[in-house]
Amino acid sequence: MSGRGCQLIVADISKRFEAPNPQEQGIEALDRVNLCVQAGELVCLLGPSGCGKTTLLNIIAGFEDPTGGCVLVNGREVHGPGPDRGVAFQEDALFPWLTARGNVAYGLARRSLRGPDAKAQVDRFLRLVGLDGFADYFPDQLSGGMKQRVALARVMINSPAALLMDEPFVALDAQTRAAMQTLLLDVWSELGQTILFITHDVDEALLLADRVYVMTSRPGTVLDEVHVALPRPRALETVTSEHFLEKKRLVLRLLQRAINSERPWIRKKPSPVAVATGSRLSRKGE
Amino acid sequence: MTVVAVSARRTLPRGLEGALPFALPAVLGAAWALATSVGGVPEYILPSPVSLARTIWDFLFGTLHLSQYSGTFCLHAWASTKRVALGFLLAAGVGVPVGIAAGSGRWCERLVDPTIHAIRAIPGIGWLPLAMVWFGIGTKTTVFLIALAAFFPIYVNSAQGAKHVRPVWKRAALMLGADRREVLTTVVLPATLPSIVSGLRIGLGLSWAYLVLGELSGVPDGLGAVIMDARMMGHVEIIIVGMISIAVVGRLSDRALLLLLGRIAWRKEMVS
Repeated sequence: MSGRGCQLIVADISKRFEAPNPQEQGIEALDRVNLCVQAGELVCLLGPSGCGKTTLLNIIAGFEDPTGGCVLVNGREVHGPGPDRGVAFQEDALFPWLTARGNVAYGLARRSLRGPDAKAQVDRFLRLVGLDGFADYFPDQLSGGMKQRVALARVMINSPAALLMDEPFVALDAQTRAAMQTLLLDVWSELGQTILFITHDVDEALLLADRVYVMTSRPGTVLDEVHVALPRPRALETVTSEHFLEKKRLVLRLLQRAINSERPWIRKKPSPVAVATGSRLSRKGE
Repeated sequence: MTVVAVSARRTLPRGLEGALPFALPAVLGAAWALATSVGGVPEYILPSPVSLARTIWDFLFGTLHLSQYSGTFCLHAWASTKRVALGFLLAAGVGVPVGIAAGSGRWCERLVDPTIHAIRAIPGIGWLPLAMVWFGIGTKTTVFLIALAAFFPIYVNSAQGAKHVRPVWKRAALMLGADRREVLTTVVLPATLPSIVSGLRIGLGLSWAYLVLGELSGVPDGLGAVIMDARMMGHVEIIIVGMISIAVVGRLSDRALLLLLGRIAWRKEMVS
């Protein structure tokens, strides 16, 4: 993987959290993470919970500083948050004092874009996420799925160089979640934005992504990358195709290695879960 | 036992249920009327309901010429309202910005918060003698006491509100292109507004309490002055009317504040 044509480059990012008490050991959250996302690509970052995915996203977004390494957007190193890197948060992060329209228009207003043109653009993005007719509702009048649609529209309207999504659908029920995944694919195919999507859900990663990076447990680092290469447009039935299942077996094996890397003693004495998964994998996969 | 419990929870008929809040005032009013008529309680201890009603009418409109207070309500209410407004605006003008600064910046909190809380420990009444030395007897002392008393709840609530603005809102604003000033004006301020509103309401309530304290110290006009003056003249009915006036004007000012804040409130519950 070369750095050429990459819109977002994460180079040797490490992060160490120092313990409040100097006698205690700090926590090594990330260890030299390298990845790149090309323009218009949808890349998923997959890893077990607690592997530092969110920490990495916070560093890319500029909310936290890395201990080592750097983040490049369009070849320029970034410091601090900015509208070139939009974030869809895991939690509800809409402004409750603004309507859906106000939330979507927030980024435009920061660039002094108001008036009829801006309004037309806000309407377009609300329509794009299927929320025309809900423009004047406040967030607490909207369902969880609708809130995430507003959150999506509010970052996408800024046309960020990189759109960072931190398990945005994790709090939704299964049906809403599936609908949101389809919606994201639709919107992405229309706008062609560059997306880094964080998830711990293998099916979600393979359904959405062009490529999947698999991260290890703490300290998090990239274990491997998988080219999904499933035909687009993808639909929910994609997850039942033979090609999909083949990729899924591959990723599951990687994930298992990723988890074991944190706790080396598991290699000597595997947990029952690891044995069950492993044996099934070896039967089906080989 | 069970039978007793069930019968005790029997619901009242609909008409009676609605009348329930008025039952206690009715009983108290009847007791009052009886005490002042057949009970023999003299007028200079407790005036009868009828004489109180006449006094209220006269205080408002002055058509009965009962005393030197006839028709002076507007004059005194206006004098008091001006003092409350001035003291309250001073308190809000300092309390809200300093509170937000202390709540959103760590160094600012460490700078001002301990001192403010130390001063807060002094009861407001304890300032009266010092205020009289500094400002003399009159409006300045009253305004000073009001501003001082109203400042603390306004400051504390604004600081608490600003401190508990969800960090993810600030992050969201930054990643959408807001600068530090815009984070303050478009996130911290609206997010703190519910706390500011409750701080202002408590502050305004305290303003009326300290108005009375300030005016008791001896000013020619104002509702507190009327009460103190009437005590010396032996007009107990005017004392009571003055108390009722302060309650009514205080309540009206709270409604007016809510009406004003309702124009900028983003959630109806904040001002209901």
